[in-house]
Amino acid sequence: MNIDDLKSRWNSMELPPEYSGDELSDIVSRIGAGRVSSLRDRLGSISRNLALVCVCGGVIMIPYLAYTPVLGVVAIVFFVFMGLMHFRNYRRVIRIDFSVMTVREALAAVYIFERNRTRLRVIGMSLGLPMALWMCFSFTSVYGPYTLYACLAGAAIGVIIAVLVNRRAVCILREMRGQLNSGV
Amino acid sequence: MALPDKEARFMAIVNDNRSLLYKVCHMYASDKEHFRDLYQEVLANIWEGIGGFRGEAAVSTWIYRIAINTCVTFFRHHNRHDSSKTYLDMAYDIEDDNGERNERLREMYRLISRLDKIDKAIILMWLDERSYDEIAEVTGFTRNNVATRLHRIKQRLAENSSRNE
Repeated sequence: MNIDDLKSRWNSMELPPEYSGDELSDIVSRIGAGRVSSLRDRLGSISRNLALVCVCGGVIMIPYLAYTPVLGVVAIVFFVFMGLMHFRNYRRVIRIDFSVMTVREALAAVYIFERNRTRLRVIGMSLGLPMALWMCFSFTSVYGPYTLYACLAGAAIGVIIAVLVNRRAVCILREMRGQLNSGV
Repeated sequence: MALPDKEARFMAIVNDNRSLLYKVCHMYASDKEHFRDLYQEVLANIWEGIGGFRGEAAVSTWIYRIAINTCVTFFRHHNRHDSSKTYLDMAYDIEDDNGERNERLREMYRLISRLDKIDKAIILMWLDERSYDEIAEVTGFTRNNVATRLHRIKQRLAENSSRNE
């Protein structure tokens, strides 16, 4: 059996009845009703929402400038920087249009987006974790010791989740880079 | 584009190209759930792109571009699938009394499923009797590059096939 034999049979093959359309018609009707969004839109929403969270974080820190000015300024700068990066990522992903891109262009665009997301995660963890610990100790003096325990527990859980998510993201990036390199 | 017009155009395009969409999604899917994810994603991207399609290219080329781009860039964030399996050989109803021939066909599907994503796109379009120019237009390679890659893919498949015999 060689590939030319397969080619001669390819277009004459019939799809099984369960794939003739009825089983998947519910997907089509949900798409048409706008109840299903693409992965690109979902990723764009995540980036946009993260940008909004960063804006909120920066705004929340403004009242604390009077009590801890250095921490307040550092936190606001951090949130503004991260918010701008997430917004830039959002703009990048919504510009991805699979209907006009070639396969190589699409793969490269998605690779850049995923790489930026991974880098932002690393930057966020590297800068955000020390800042979060600094906040914990600063706010403990105001709200009591249990605040510290709760904040440390939250930080530990957040770091574990971030590391696990990042590990999978790095594997995906490696796979994408392999695909791109094989296409050169 | 008014919503009812968009829906009507969307349904017409999906129905007219159903076989093409199934073949592309099956080529890249490793199991039924993966197939449904891919199929849904391809349809969602067609829906989003339909307003901007002005008929500059053939509809089938446009559909191929969206479907293959979606499948090539769809990376599952949880590794539930076994990459050595293919959904392709289970999807097609091969009506043939020759059991050995059927087994060889399935073996060919398995070998194709092990190609990298871009090579799969090239061999898929070639199997569907698309021209080298069309394959080049969709993949972004030059025509000569497509011909060279296709030759290498066929060689690799033939070598792996004879190794398994």
